[in-house]
Amino acid sequence: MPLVHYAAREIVCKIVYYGPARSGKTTNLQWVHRAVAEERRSEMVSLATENDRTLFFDYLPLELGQISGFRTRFQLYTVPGQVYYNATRKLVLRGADGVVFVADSQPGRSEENLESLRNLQENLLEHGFDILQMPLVIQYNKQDLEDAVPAADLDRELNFRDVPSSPAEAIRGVGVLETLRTVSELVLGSVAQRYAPSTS
Amino acid sequence: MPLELDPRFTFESFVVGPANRLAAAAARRVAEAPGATYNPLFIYSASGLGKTHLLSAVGHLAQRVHGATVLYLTLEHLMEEVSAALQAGERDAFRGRLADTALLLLDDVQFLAGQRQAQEGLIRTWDALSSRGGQIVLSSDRPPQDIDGLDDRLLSRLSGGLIVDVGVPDFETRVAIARRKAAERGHPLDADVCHVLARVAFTNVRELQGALNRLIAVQELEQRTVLPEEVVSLLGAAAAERGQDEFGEFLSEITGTVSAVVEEADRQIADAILAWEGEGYRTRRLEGALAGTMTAPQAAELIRRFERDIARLREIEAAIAAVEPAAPELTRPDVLRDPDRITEAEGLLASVRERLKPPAGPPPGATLDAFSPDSMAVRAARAVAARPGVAYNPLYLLGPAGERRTELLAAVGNALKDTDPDRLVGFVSGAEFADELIAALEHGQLEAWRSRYRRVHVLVLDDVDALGETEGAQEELFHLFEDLRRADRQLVFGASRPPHELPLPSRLRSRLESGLVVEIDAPDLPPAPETAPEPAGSPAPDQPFADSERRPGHWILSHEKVLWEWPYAQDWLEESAD
Repeated sequence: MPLVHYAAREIVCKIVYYGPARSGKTTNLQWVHRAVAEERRSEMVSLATENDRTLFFDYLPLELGQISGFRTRFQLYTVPGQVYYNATRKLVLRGADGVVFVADSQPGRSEENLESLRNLQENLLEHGFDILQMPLVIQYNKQDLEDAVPAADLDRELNFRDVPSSPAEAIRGVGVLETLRTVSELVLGSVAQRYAPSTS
Repeated sequence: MPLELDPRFTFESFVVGPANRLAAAAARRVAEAPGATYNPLFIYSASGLGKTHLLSAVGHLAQRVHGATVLYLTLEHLMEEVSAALQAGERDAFRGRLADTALLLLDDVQFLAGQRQAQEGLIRTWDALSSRGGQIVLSSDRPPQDIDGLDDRLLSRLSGGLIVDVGVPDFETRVAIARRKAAERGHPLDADVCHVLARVAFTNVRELQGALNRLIAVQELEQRTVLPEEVVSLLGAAAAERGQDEFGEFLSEITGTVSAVVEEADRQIADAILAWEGEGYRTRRLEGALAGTMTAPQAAELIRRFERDIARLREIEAAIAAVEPAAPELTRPDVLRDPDRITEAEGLLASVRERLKPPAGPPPGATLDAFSPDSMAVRAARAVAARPGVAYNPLYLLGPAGERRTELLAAVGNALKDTDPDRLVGFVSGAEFADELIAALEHGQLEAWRSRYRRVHVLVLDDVDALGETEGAQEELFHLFEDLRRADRQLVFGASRPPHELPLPSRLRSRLESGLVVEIDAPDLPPAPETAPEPAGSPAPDQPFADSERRPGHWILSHEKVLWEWPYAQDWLEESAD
């Protein structure tokens, strides 16, 4: 599905929050949801287990209104982080325009972070995307924890593609909108690039 | 009552940024050339972003540059005026006022929604204005397609012009606005104050200006400089709330990014319009595409095709100039500078080429040496070759249709070319002449075709007989004959019958026989049938200058004047007498 529908004068941008279980993907969406002014806030759909684990996915539609005559809507999704929900992750990832990888900054979560990143690469490939082509931002969440691995160390560990990355404390909203803004700009920038006239 | 243009709202006081660049450029162009570029110009935006400012700026500039009569009204005022004029029976008075108006600026046309009567009124006003080449600029808080129940006629009129929007200014533009407005008020603000002010998520410029006024008032009344850290508190709770609105800031930044993406196509098109208009080319095709419905690659393709057409127009112009530097076609910028009229431009080139195409010459190889030098026709032909346009004009060679007559005509043509290689000899048969005329009429190239034949120094036209039933060709030949004769150009004709036997208009017949009519000495020419006994007193049959018509091997003398013009006549008379 194209991101910019010129005929319908509509922009629909699907952003998926990916990452290992309990890294703070849903918390990101919840903060965004809270930040939206009430009059333009939509319901956030969350399918979670009793212990707050995402069972299926979270969905937050963001109506940004008319921009340059285009009705602009962002659709934010999270995937379930647990390894055994891979079919759901693949499904949610389909048609994504951009991905926010929410890494867990707690010590001892390196393996889960890496495994989830590998899983993202595989699932993207199954949808025919090279991870290099997908607008991707890495967020190092839970930086507020005392024993959090510094963002710079995590960057060396995980960010081998050298994509934009930022520290965050999603629980307090720190870095949440900044991450969303970065990925949005990457997504919209990729549209501009995709549609750029050939110079040949 | 028309509204007064706000003297503060000029282009000079309008801060241009990415969100309003296109609208400002279009408005300025309209003001510089009312009625000539984007007509109508439709500007839409949310409230407080500068629509009215732009409308006024157009009015001021048009007044200043052109002395244009400007009528500035809101839609509401226009409708009041129309209905008041109708009620007072002064419909003509209102029309009269419109008649003086060169530029109509109409604000707030979104109130047309569902107002059929108002829409009718606007259509009538519009028609009255545009019939005199007047310019109309409209503003609205939404694009035309979002105005409920807008009449299709209005929609189609609007789509014939340019529809542009004015977006929320980005941070840098907000800073620039804050600085400019403060400077205009004579109270420049600290740079950091402007930055803090611009960071407050105002939804429009009017709010920004309101906040700016507050800061200036503090500076003015308290005789002190406002500090950056006190901006938010000075602006009150609303601004403080806005300042903390992280999502609002996010939205503002995303808006800029989205605009850059979706307006990329419009930006490309607008750049191309400005560039090519500057070069003097019509850009109607591009203007029509400025509706924001194109993707960037579509716009790029549109521009590529447009520029390809311009390249072709340039080739056409160069080609015309190369073949005829003073060609009247070169004074047709309406065609040669309009990529939408490329077919017509190709027609102009074809027309010039057709006009300048040398007519077909005589088939090479045929020479007079192949004919008996004693033949009267050959002697006449040689005389013509020696003194074209003077000796016998026209020379009318009479003989049966066939190669021999055509060969002799070609030989005459070649002899004329041999004596002067620059001499343009046109060689055509009557049937070809008639066919060419039809083709020229079919392709709209009659003038070019006529002009081509008028360039020849010698016209050799074989088989005049074929023109018997072609009225148009007869008419053309008559005028061509006249023009060529007037210019002392040589005419040579070939036919199987003498002029007076051809079913031609008498004025053409008489001209064909006004030179020398001579029968070709053809061995295969059948002998003339015996005719009725000669009337008494007529010359003996063997006397050449008597009535010798239809006598093969002899030239025909139908008119005495021919004899006097013929230099060999005297010799021949003497020889015959021997």
